[in-house]
Formats: sequence, C-alpha cells, structure tokens
Amino acid sequence: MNLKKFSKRNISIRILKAGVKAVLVYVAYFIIAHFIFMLLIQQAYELIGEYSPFIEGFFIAIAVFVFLTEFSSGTIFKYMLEFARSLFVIFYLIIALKNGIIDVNIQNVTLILNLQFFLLMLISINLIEIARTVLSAIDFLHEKAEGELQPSAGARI
Amino acid sequence: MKYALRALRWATIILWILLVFLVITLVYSAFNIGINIGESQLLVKDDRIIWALPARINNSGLYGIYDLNITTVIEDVDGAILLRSSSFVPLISKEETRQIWHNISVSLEEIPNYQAYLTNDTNFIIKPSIRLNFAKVTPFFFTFNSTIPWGAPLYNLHVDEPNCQFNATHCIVSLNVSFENHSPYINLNGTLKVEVLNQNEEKIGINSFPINVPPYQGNGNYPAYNETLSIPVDISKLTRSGKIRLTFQTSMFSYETEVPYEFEEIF
Repeated sequence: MNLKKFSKRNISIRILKAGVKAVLVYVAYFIIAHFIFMLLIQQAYELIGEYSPFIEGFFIAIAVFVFLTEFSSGTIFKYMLEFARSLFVIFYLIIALKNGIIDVNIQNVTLILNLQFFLLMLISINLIEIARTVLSAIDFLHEKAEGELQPSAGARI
Repeated sequence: MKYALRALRWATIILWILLVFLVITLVYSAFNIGINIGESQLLVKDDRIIWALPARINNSGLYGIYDLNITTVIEDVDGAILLRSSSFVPLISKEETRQIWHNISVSLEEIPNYQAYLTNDTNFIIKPSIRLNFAKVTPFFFTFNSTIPWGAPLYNLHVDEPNCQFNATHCIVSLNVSFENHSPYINLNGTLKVEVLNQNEEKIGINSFPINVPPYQGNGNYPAYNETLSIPVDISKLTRSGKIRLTFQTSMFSYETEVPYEFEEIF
C-alpha cells in the first residue's frame, strides 16, 4: 500500500475532494427524491411514506461510501470499500424490499406488490460490480507489482 | 484484464439502462390504465340473487395485463366463508379496452346454515380482491374489506300458542303468526303450509296460506306479516299434545319450524 501518498497537504485535498463528491451524491438524492415525490399523488405518497427513512438511510450510507472510496483512491482500500459497498447494497435492498414483496396495509386495504424481478436485476448488477471490483483490485496489484519491478530491472541494464 | 474490466463495465451500464427504461415505461403504463367501475346491478332471478358489477378497463399503456382475477369472498362475522365468486381475464393487451362483468350469484340454500340468516339480522363481511400480473414482471394484489348489513326475511318470527274451537266432527286449531321482512332483496311471495301432528306423528290437519310480503324499502317501516291461521283438525285423532309444523315455501328458500301444542282443557 502506497501510504507515502498521504502527505498532510495531500490528505486535505483528498478530504476536500471526497467531501465534495459525497455532498454532490447526497444533493442529487434530494433533487431526485423531491422530483419523484412531486410526481406522486397523495395516496401513493402515503403508501411509500413508510419507506422514506430506508431511502434516506440508503443515500446517507452511499454518500459515506463515496467519501471513503474517494479518500482512499490509489490504494487497495478503494477496492475493498467498493466491494463492501456492493455487498451492502445487495443486503440493504433485500432487507428494505422485504425479499421483493412490498406489503402495505392501510386500515382495511391491503396492497401487495411483487418486485422480485427488479430486486433480481439490482442484485445481478451489484454482483457484476463485485466481479469488476475484484478484477480491478487484481489489476491494481498487478500494475503496482510491475511498477516496483521496473526500476530494479532498469538498474540492471 | 483491461478488456474484461471494460466488458463488465459495459454490462453494468447496459443493465442499468434496461432497468431504468423498464421502470419508467412501467410507471408510465400503470398511470395510463383507466378503470371505470359502473353502477352495480342487483337482479333476483328464480331462486338466485345476482349482484353484477360492470368494469371497463382501458389499457393505454405499453404492456399487457395478464391473469386478471377478480374475486369476491363473503364471510359471516366469525370469518366463516359463505360465498366465493371469481372472474378471470387471461389477457388485456396494450391499446385494448375490455368490458368485464363480475357477477356474484347466490342461492340462499347454498349458504351453510342459511336458515339462521332467515330469522336473524346480521352483518356480512365482503372482501373483493384484484390479482394481476402487469407486463409479466410485476405481480400485483389488492384487497379491501367492508361490512354489509343483512336483513332477515323472517325477522322476529313469532308463533302464538295455538287454541282449539270445537264443532261436531272437527276442531279448528288457530294460531297467530307474525314476522317482519327486513331484507331489501327478497320478496316473500309463496305459501305457508301448516300441518298439525298428533303425539304419534300422524298428520291430523293441514292447510296452506298464501304469503306476499314485499322487500324492505329502506324507509324505516318494515313490511310485516301478522295473520291468524285456522286449520281444521280430525277430532278422532286429536291427542292432548302434539306439534304444529310451519313450512314457508318461496322461490328463494324453504324454511320449516315447529311449535308444540297442548290442549289440556279438552281432555
């Protein structure tokens, strides 16, 4: 791990850059969520109202991951965090979407929506993302190892 | 390695585009489905009460509606299922308008323990539900329950103690029968058969009386029946005690009840 990169000046820039990215992600969430909620009729808003803490919690967690990933870019920690983020997203979606079966009860009305197809698609996307992260980590280590070998090879010549 | 990474990145991007496209088009299509529920019609035909609910579904969306199943379950207050009726539409294609009739047809005699509902007012729980598979990827289920009052057609059925008046060969048994028709659906048009049975279960007198009590109009005044019925009885077979069997026979139902008699003063 190249910890030499983390000089005092470098750390401040990294924190600033990571902070800006995380804030941008969170602001994007507010804009998208506000736009979606504006489109919804009152009854539909009441139905998904109970999921708003889940959605907000999800975006806070994603913003934290964006901050940490950006802060640790150029190190193996970036890939570890990306891997962790994808796993987090998979488990979060499974738990928040109750295995893809949305069951809403309001007074004497029951509504059940089966979103398993979409959950499956989201899990597939995140599994591909995990595979990509693992390959990227291997590639990163490979390039780093090559980079360390090149000067010694040059010295021999 | 670079090519594999690039391929995976493109796979992720394509899947995201597909997912977003699918969600947007599904939401758009769902908002473009028009459902018009017409006024329900109540028909009384032969021995059946038919409740028909028309619905017009206009699918202006981009996807079909598959396996549309409308079910109505009627339960008593204890949750026992009295009646279940389903209407099934295998497919409503996009750009198609379909007229659906959801019929609930009930014959009183098909309802378990229906005789209890002939003399007692109660409430029924009606549970309509809709099950469908939208675009074959989004199964959907919707149900609600509401309570409907049930008015008994023979509410407060009361048979007074019978008495007997003699002549030379016969005695005339007379008894007063009264009830109120609380049902807004059932027109009580039929006969009331009265049989007098002695201790040995022999029929010693029989008579039939027409009954015609209109359904309850909802104005607070229940149509009532209050008649004194006379049945000539063969005096040679008359015993001190016995029973009188009353049978209400209408096109909708048949109801039988018995009252004991005891003519102590005669013997």
